[in-house]
Amino acid sequence: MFPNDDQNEEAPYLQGHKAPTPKEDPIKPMPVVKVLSTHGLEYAMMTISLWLTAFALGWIFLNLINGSRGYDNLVVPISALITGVPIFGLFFIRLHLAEMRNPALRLEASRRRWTQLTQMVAFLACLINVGVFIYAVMKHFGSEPTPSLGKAAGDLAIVLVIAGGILSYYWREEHRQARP
Amino acid sequence: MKNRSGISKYYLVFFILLAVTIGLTIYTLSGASSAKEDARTAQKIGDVANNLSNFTSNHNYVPESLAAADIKNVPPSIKYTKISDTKYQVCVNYRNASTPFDGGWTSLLTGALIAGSNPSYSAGTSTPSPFFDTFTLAYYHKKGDNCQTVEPFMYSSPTLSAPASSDTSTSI
Repeated sequence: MFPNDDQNEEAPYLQGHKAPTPKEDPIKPMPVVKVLSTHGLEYAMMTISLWLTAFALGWIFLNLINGSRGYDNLVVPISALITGVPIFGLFFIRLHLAEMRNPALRLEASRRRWTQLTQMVAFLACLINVGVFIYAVMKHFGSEPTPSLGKAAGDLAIVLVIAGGILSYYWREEHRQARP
Repeated sequence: MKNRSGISKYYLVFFILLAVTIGLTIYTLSGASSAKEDARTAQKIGDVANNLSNFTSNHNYVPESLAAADIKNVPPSIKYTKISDTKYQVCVNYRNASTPFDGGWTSLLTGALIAGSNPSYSAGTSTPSPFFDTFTLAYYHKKGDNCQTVEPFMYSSPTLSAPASSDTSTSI
């Protein structure tokens, strides 16, 4: 029987008594600070810069395809791309070299958390865009005026190349590791 | 050996990405001067519209030129033509078409939703308008000349006649 087993009774140490030390109560839960591993932090930084690069590339090419080719339409995503690409490249090559030296890094939990989250985001992007493209094709046969199907296909192709590329890279890597 | 070829593949991809970034940066920067010029034109068109509106309401006729309406420092991209005492035309030349469409940072997730959206250019109609519509001239213009014919007294007769006949007639 532990002092605070009964939730209706106030624990004795709250009634003016001194709180028990871990030595007196060895199974009392203690708060633990959760941190990323050294490489886990680098994987997090690489993933964030990968997202920045991918979103910027998508923004630029979708603007170009849809006729927004002016300086004002491109200056923000270009700035993001200039920021994201070198940081992503640096971390990607650095971590890839580290993985070649120590293959166990590929199975590190903090790395897998980020790669799996990236796969989910990339999968959702592909799923939403394929669904909306099919809707646009269906609507094209209806009476409502629809935007250009060629442009819609171009938009879909851009999303599939960027998000699909990221998804297929991590997918192949994840399944290669799962093989015995 | 296999490891070396594995990493060189990623170096190649990284350099391609870097080359694309440099190419897109050069392309974007090449449009900076025309964007700056267009922004200056769009800003000035507001002053021109205000001064022309003030002039026509004070004098009840349209000015001979922009200088006559005390409008200074007009860029060569804005051209004024007096058609008659009650009608004028302003042509604004832009180096780029306005693009109200912008994918935004989430466009990778919603790319197909914006599929093939075409910008509509409502500026540059030949139909006379009773007022100078600066909003469409600034935000819905096409590349090149965008002309607007303005007839300020379309729905009301001028209370004073034009200067050529102002010596002889004055109405309330």
